[in-house]
Amino acid sequence: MRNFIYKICLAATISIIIGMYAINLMRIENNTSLEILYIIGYGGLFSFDFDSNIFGFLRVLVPQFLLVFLLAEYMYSDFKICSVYVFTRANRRHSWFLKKFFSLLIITLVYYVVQFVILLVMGVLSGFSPERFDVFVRVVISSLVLHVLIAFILVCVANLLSLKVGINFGYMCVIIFNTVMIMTPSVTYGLFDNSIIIKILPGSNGMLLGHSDNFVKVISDKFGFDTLEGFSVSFSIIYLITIIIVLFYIGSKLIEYLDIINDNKEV
Amino acid sequence: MIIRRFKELGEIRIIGLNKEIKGNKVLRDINIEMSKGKIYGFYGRNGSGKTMLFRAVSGLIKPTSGEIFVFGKKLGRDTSFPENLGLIIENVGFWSQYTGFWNLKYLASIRNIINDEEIRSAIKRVGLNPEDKKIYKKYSLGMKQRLGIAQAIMERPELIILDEPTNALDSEGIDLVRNILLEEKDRGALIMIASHNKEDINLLSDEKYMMDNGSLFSELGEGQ
Repeated sequence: MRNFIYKICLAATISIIIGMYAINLMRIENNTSLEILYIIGYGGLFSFDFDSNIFGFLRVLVPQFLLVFLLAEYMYSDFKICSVYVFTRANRRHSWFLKKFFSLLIITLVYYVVQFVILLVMGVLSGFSPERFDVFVRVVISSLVLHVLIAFILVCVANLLSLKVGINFGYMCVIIFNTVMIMTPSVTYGLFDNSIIIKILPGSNGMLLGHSDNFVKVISDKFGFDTLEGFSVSFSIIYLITIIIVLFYIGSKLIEYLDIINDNKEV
Repeated sequence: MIIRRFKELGEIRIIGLNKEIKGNKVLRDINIEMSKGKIYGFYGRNGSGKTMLFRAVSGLIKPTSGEIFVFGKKLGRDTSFPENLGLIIENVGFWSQYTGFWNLKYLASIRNIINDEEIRSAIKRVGLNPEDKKIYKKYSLGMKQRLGIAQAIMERPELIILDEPTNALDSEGIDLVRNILLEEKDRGALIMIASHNKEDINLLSDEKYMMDNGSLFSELGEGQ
């Protein structure tokens, strides 16, 4: 329980820092739109240009890395804490994996819901309100879904790697992979038409900004944020869900053939 | 029909079992049949393959080749782990911040076939006090081992696999565990024990096997 509260507090702290940053930026712009506050806080990179993105990278990467750090050993811990007794009481390895997989999804969802609610409370207390309610709802829901899906992918990869190569190595791999994934469109910005790279990389699919849906363009055009034609939120959601299904398949196979030979340890 | 055939041949059948880990052959062409109501003793020096064999029968490791049938079901095809298994493999580990009763209650909740009273009874049976508020971390080595044995027998499993069951026990504890194993055998359980203590094996086992370098030999030294 203490561990759970500690994790929630860390998530809340990150959310408060992001909220303070977004509110200050909005005050400079003299804008009190709640949907734009969410875009600033959780919309992703404002531009694919590397030079204007140093804080943007941190704003995108830190909450994801924190979540992966908090959950990287979620599956591995069952191997560490009397795996022998737990596993041999379940008839199927698949049922264990299925349970863990969906628990991770729920925890990831709760993590971002907590962050979004905190930003909402901070925004409302600071005098922000929706400019257009339909746009506000779409921004919040799309942004939340994209965040949850991309973070869930990272958490899954970290957990599956931890079973195979250990927690630390798995966590480091995800950090490097995600950093490269988020920064690549910015590094290639201006060098050539990198729209295919943006559409392929899961990281850019997980950010609301850059998408060409009308409710995003309304805001992007107003503030000069980059958008990519033919890059819709629904495409990204389907793409990210496809990746999750592939990860589930790989995870099932991995669990099925994984040798449980870790010695029991007290935790 | 199939079940009847397995009853004729033995409740556990291991056929041509081989296991290789990182290029090392840890189990070599193991063939054995075992029946209920008997104790099978396995002895051999450290690293001879006893624990790996137990892990394979428990479904914890996948054979590189060969087949394991437990009570008519093929491991890895019909089930991932043997149903109705009580197990201790090497070090006994539990959740250290909780009491012995809490640990067993948590594990019992996975199968949910026994109630609190039956858990208490298993704890008493190994000479521990189910009402003891001491957390597991504060247990002595002997108490930890007793709790491990309690979790292995509490659900009255048909198959009991115990790796070094008398480790860390005093002479009174060793006698207690030996008696429990004999009672479980009389109940009809199939028991596999591994021990470096030849006395345990000699006193308890109906059939004895030696393991060396991943190979299994009968007491007479014949390859199985």
